[in-house]
Amino acid sequence: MRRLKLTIMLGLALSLLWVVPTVVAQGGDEYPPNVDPDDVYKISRKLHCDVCQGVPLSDCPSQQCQAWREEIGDLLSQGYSEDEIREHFADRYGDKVSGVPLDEEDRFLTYAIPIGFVVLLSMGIGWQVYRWQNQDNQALQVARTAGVHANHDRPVPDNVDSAYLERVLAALEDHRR
Amino acid sequence: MIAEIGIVTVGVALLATILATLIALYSAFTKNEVITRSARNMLILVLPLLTIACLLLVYAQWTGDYTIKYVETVSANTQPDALKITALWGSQSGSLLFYSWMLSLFTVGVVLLNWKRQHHLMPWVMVIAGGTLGFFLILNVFYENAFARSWIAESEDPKTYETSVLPPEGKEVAYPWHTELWNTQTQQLETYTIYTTSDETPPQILNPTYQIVSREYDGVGLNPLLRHPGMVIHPPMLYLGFTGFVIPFAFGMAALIVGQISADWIRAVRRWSLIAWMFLSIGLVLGGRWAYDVLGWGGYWGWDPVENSALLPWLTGTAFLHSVMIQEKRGMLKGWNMIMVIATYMLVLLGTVATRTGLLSSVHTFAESPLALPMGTFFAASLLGSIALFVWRGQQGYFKGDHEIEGILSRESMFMLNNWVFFALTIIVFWGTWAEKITDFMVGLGLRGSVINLGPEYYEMPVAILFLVIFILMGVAPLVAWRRAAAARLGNALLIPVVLSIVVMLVLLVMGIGILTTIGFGIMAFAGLATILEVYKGTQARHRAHGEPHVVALFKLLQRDRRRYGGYFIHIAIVIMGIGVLASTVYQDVRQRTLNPGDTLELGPYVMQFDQVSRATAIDDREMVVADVSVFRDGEFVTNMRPRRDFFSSGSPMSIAGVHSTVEADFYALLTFWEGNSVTFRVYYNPLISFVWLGSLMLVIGTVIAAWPDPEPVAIRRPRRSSVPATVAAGD
Repeated sequence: MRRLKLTIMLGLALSLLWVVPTVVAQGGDEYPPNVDPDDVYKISRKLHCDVCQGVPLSDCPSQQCQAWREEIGDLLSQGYSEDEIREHFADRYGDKVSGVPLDEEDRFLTYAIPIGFVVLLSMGIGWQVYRWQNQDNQALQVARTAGVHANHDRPVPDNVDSAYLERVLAALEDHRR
Repeated sequence: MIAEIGIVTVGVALLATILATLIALYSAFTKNEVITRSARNMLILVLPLLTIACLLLVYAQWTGDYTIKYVETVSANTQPDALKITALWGSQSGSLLFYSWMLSLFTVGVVLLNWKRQHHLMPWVMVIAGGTLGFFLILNVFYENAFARSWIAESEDPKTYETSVLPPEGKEVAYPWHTELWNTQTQQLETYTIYTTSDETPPQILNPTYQIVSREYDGVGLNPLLRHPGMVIHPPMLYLGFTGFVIPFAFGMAALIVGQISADWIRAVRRWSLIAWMFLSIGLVLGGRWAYDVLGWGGYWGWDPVENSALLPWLTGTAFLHSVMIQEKRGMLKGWNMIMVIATYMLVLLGTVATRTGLLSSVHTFAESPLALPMGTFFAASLLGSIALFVWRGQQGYFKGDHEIEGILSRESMFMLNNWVFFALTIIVFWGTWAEKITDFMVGLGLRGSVINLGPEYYEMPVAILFLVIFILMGVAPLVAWRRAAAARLGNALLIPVVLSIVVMLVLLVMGIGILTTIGFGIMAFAGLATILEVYKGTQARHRAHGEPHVVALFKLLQRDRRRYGGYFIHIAIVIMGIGVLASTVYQDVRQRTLNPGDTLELGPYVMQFDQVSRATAIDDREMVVADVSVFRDGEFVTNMRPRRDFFSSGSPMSIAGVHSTVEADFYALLTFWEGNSVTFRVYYNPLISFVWLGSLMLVIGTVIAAWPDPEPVAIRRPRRSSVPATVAAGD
């Protein structure tokens, strides 16, 4: 622990010592002068490049992403609206670039599929549970009518203590022997 | 030597697990108590073995045994000591070993703690949990062995090596040397890892084009993105959440096999589920905090496929924690609870498969690995097996409830609605996560023409609507009586929170908040106020009945019914988090500007002045570009911030934000680019984001309260009537 603290302190001290005021040049996005970088950011945040592994275009550090962002800047300077820019990229690189498909049919499917699944699964599970209950009731009804007990394993009631159950089962086993 | 001991230890752990599982299986059929105990003891043995294996790997990381390939990948001489330890979960094979260790921790925990109470289920619980552990240990031994060494033949290219557990014929242990060479032709510095057969003899460079700059026996080091404190704790928490949910599944399957779908197995798993859920929650929050601090996009949740993979079991787990109460209290929803347990386990497995095989495209996934086939097979077998068991028991009428729903307005129906909403959320998030893979597969089959790729936009609307329904239920459900509630009585109970939340909404509207946002805040206020009022009523009742001061009454209330009031605490925490999420999403403001020293940027109530940019080198050879900025509010100096960008010898650069946090908002500055002395900043104003972290903390506290074990009831024995004097009976 002491060694760790010393390492951290030494690291910080050295970091401060080695601070120099000069900086190596680094490239940034370049936009036309009439373009607000915030507008580029707002649009690029809703776009994804095809290799950025889910990272929005606005935050992707690759050169391709930088080129795309600069292209957004160019399009904005030409008077393109946000929707037009998104369509422009979708036309060139496919709907994958957009967070939600721009194609109307795909957009419908995007929401219809999960909603359909929710409805279908809810109905399916509900129906199955109802069927099982009904089936069980029928079996009991038949048994009652026939004056005999239903001859299948019934679940153990909730309020039976497991230790008690173990003892009963063991006693039954002994009795059988 | 460490590698050899490690390989043997993990191998013995695998053998012990397989044996324990087979013995448990045999004992399940023979009902032989001695054999059951043997299985338990064998399973318990796995924990110390895996503990030794993990410690050995940590020791190798600490001492720099870079002949072990994993150690070479995640550790380095200059790496801080703390990170040399946490590197255990820094990459695939180490984290997989750590995952198995956690799985064994839970397995041993369950056989020790539940042995007496759920004894009749134990053989099958051991079979299921042991089987899962055994599968992961197979991966540890045969697919991703963390102790595998690098090997090299003297005649081969010193930059190539072979990784294997057993020594390949004619090869010797390879020692990696981090070598920097100056290329005299291109006049550039080139870095290589060159392997030799000794850690004392550095590699010789015979090519006259190169001049040696430095040679050091060294490892590559931990991925820079994983060097954040949040990332140090985040994976273990997530793994604890994931592995913890294996226990409810094991109990569920055991109950199905044995044919006792009563509340007994539910009682056994409730606490385990709550613990797993708590760790998963912490893991999710820490992941969010890590993203906020390190990924440099001003947010904490990006609907990334891997984030979603951890969220999915959390959603079904939350649903289960609610529906479990119906089975405990009323003996209903037996089948549904089983579905939720199976779904949670399957989503845990699927999340593990997705993350560890590179199946989903994300910055969080491990690289593509050979695990896809075995993990996919195990997932499919578990899914089919559990569904078959479920259907088999269902057809035998085992899921018939002890009671029917007596009224639409009842606690039972509220819980069912709650579960349905969580279920819908799960489907929505699942589709958003897997749509790309599914449609890509369909394109491959010629069934579709294009791939559907879904980003954050897809989730916003459906998730917001469903969460608002959850908040409404959170406020209403605790006030609704079991079996059947009278509408008038419920109306009376709801009156005060409804009126108060309407007042809150009116105030927000007057403040100029948009109508949709106001509705959102109003619903959250309703949920929070209804819960607080419920707690107040309980406190007041104790205060009146026992004359206790309110604080004491509240404390005793918590003590008396930890589960209920812990749950309320969690509800309040979720409300606080919800307020933070809504405010920081709707009212987040972003500005990006390139500034020269002395320039200012205004955002929200803050003004940021750029002072200077400088460059520094840290002790771990990390290059840093640091901007100094001053932050002002209403003309008054508030603080200095130093947003920076870190560059590592390997891996992507990392943006470390400068953050000024207050309860009201975070002022968050990122250094994105620089050229000479001018710097491009992206600055965020994130209102009420502190509520997200505060709520998270409260959520953990609430879960601990709810999960804290009650003292075992003390059996009071009736004194035996005996004619023999007590002293004689005692043997005196």
